[in-house]
Amino acid sequence: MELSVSEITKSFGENKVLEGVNFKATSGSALGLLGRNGAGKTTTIRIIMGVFPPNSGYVTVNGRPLDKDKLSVGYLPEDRGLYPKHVIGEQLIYLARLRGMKAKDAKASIAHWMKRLEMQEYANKKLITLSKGNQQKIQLMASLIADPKLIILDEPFSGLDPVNASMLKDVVQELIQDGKIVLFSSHQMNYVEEFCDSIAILHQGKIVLDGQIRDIKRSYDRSIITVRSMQNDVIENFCLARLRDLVGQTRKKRDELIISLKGPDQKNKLIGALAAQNFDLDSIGVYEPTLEDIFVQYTGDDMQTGERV
Amino acid sequence: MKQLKTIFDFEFGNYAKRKSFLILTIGLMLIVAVVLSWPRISELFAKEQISGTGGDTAAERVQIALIDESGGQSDAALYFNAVPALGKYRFVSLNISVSEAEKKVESGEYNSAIVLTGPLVYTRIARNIPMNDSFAYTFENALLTRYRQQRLAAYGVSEADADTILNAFVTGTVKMTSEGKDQMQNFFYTYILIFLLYFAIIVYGQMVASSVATEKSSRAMELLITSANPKSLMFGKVLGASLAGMLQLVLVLGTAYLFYNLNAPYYTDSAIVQSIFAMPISMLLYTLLFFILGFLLYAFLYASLASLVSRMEELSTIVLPVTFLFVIAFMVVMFSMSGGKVDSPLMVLCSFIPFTSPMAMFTRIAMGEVVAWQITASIAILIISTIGVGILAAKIYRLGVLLYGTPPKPNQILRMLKADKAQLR
Repeated sequence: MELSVSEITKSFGENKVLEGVNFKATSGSALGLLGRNGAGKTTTIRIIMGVFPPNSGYVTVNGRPLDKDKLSVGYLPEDRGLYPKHVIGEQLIYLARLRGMKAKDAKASIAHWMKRLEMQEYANKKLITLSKGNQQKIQLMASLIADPKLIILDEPFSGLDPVNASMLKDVVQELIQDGKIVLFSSHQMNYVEEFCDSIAILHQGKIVLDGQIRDIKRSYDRSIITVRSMQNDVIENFCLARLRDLVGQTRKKRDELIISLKGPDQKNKLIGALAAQNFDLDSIGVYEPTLEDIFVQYTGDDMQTGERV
Repeated sequence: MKQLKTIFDFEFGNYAKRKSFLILTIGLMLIVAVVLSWPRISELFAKEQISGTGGDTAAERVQIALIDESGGQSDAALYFNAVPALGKYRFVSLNISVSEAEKKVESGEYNSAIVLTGPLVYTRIARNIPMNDSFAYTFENALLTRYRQQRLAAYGVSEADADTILNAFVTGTVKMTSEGKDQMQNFFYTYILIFLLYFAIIVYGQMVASSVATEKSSRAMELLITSANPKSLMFGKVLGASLAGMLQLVLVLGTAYLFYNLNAPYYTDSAIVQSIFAMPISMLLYTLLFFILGFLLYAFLYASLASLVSRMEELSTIVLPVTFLFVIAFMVVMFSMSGGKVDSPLMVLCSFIPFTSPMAMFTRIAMGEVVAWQITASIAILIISTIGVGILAAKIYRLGVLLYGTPPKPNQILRMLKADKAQLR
């Protein structure tokens, strides 16, 4: 199954929010939908959910327009909220029934998720009596009870303690393995790297980067080398003084020395030269940007497309 | 449709299962039942009191000292003791001074003392006079009758003739043409029903508003709006509340009807109570019709306005104009009613304007002269406007529920509605 968002544009009055958004997500994998605040993520999600129509463009599943009645969608909104003064079990049944579930199936599903998230004791309590983390779990449950094929999680980890976060990680991994399409939106890049095979970065209403994270990282210049050593200062001086034919420039980033080579084929020569000097090297390798680096690079205000490091 | 039913059930359940709703309904029913059974209850207590004191009521009569200084020929005490309306009192003729009488009253030997200084002039000496004291009125009547009898006797009119003349009464019968209405007779039930309409609409309208605002401020809306159609959300909510309101209305009115009939023998000489329950069944049906239409109209307004706020604190400000409009309608109707001018040009106008017609037309039907086509036209206008307002409210609601921040101004809403329409096309 493939969810495809094609050429979506949307404006509210004069305000153009989305200007041609494209991306694809396939079942059994998670897509990280990233963007700064106000980039248009929530609007994109709402268009996928059919809350309002796009000005142009379309959302398809396997080439057909997305029909929410046939393909249920689970949504964990960034702004959490349910009925604070209602009994948890009752409001979950209500939400499941709104999505077309029978009361009996809803009860069975709620029982399953209550057990899975270790929340059985709370089913007959009012939501307001729960801790923030537990309310968060109920919210997650609300998005999963109707057994959706497409799951949209907006900042699912905010407010969870490490134990609950690890439980949620397992749940998300299970969902991916079960062949669901997971759209994952977060500013916590470590989680995105953990779950998502591919990402789409929204910036000012446009997709500025999308694809497999592995490919994106590999697409970066492979002529940049990182060296970790206690002797970084000595190595830097050595490179600048003695290896001028290999090394373009160097810079230091925390305990790493980053060396830009004049060409990717110079990598082995550099390694050989450093080894010959018998420096105390902890590690040496091709520099790979973190997702955070990539995100900042594509969405920062001083975005420059020419230089990448 | 299935979604609408689910939402309707949930919203209705929210009211029906709420403790405050149950307490209020049962409380109202109890009050109505007790008030209407009051004559029976107070009679029960009265009986117990009498049987408890041993029965000799003569000894229990209130002792009143009578000092006759008017120089009348006959024994005044004898006369007053024979007046049935003064049966509670026993007059004792005493030949003492006023200051001695005062002492006797002070000591409690006599409840009070009457000093007659002329055929129609008296002084009453009393220690205290209870709130609902009817003695003066009854005594003065008796005194006046005695005076007239004596004067008539002086003119040679026999006692029997004098009695007949003094006790003469008028027998009048009112015959109404079939179109006419006795405003006096219809006043009380119209008054009660208008009050019920007013409270039901304003209370339930505000409950709908706060229910919408709660969903928004708690952000439950984020999930609801992605799970259900906003139209179903709004209509389900409004219809759920209207059923709850109607149920409450029917239960209270039904209780009143039941307890009136249970206690009917006690109301045979109470014209007001009888006139209330002599209300034609058609008026009851009109009450329900105008309640449903008026409630829906206002509830749609309340729901759409409430959808524009982000926080509960903003709610009362934004719904104020609607509440204001409704209170004005209520005032116009109430003033016209008590002025007896239910068919004044203002009321005729109000009975066609949808926001005032639920109460204005209702009052005119109950108390005024209104021809059938006007009723039909008023109801038709109301139905069409209710549907129109419902559609508009659903559109505002659809936009409003996703808006957070400062509530938009009316012109901003219009602009958004236009833009939205252009997009949907």
